[in-house]
Amino acid sequence: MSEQRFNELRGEEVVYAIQRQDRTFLPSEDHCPLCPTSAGSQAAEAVQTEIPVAAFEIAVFDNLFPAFRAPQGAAEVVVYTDKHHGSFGTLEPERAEALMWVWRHRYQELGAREDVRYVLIFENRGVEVGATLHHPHGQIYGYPFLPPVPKLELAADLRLGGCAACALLRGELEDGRRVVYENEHVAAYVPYAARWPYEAHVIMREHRPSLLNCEPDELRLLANCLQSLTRGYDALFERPFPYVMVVHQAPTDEHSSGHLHVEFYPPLRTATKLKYTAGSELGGGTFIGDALPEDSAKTLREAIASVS
Amino acid sequence: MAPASASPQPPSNRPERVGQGGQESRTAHRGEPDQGHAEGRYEAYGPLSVERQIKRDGRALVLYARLESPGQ
Repeated sequence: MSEQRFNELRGEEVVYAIQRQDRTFLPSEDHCPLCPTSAGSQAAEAVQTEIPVAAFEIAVFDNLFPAFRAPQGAAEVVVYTDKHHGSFGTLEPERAEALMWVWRHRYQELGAREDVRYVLIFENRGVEVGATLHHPHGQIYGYPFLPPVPKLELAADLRLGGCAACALLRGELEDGRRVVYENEHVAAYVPYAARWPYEAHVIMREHRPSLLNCEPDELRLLANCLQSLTRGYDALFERPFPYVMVVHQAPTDEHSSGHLHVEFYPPLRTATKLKYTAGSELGGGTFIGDALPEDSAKTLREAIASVS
Repeated sequence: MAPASASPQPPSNRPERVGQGGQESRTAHRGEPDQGHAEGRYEAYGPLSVERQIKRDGRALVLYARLESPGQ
């Protein structure tokens, strides 16, 4: 069981999940726990993986090494495909659209639990951001408390006197310099005050608190935008582009609001150099940028266009 | 609790809770067989079929597939 402690100096919760210390770390393909059980194995030597079926489209299971678990939250693994190689960006569009429905379903189910106050869907892509399995997958945490970042977003709503995400989107669309992709229902931009060199936010044009509020066509175009962005990322430096992808939605406490958007925090500042969170970022809480968001957006917009 | 959703509601949008037992597994990796699982229950959610299984160690496994995709 994880232990939760409140850090008085920072005013935030810290979770200790010591069982995660022994979690699977970068296994070879033939020891991948996210592949279907029979894939690539000799019949006589077939051994069970986490997904004991011969084939599947999308699978979700309780994390073997959970940061949270009932009755104090949840931790799930979302496996995008039974194919070991590839990425979110290379999924067939229909599967990426199906994944939006899976996310929606998990948000609904986990959010209905009394011990879950916030559902965070995310993907860590690449060893640079701590991924420990190469097989295309993401995770979902059901927090038993409201984490600091969503709390900051709610505070921004109060500060701006309405939905902050709606206001920021309007500003970005009017300015246009940092917009990297648009379709009928979804837009993507590098934020005015991005913390990461190629940070991008993907946001619903209409005010949608969560995936539950989206029409089917909005989910389809959300998947389309996310894939366009991630393919653009890979084209940017002609290499698999590491990122943290996080879905922000309304807290699941029945009264808080929110605006569905997906934030990407990529650590690369060049093809070979990482942006680190160091003294100023960790000790002072202030990010020091190496590139202006307008310049990053221009490069990223061109990269996305080159693969669209 | 999840906020109310807007239109359109997919079918079966309040499925039964599963997978909250969460006891620690010692057997779920390759080389450490999971040694079986309970057969699934099927339902639909929007364009997806949903098959729920319980792994031998008590953890939930949910398999999703597109309803219109043959051969899956």
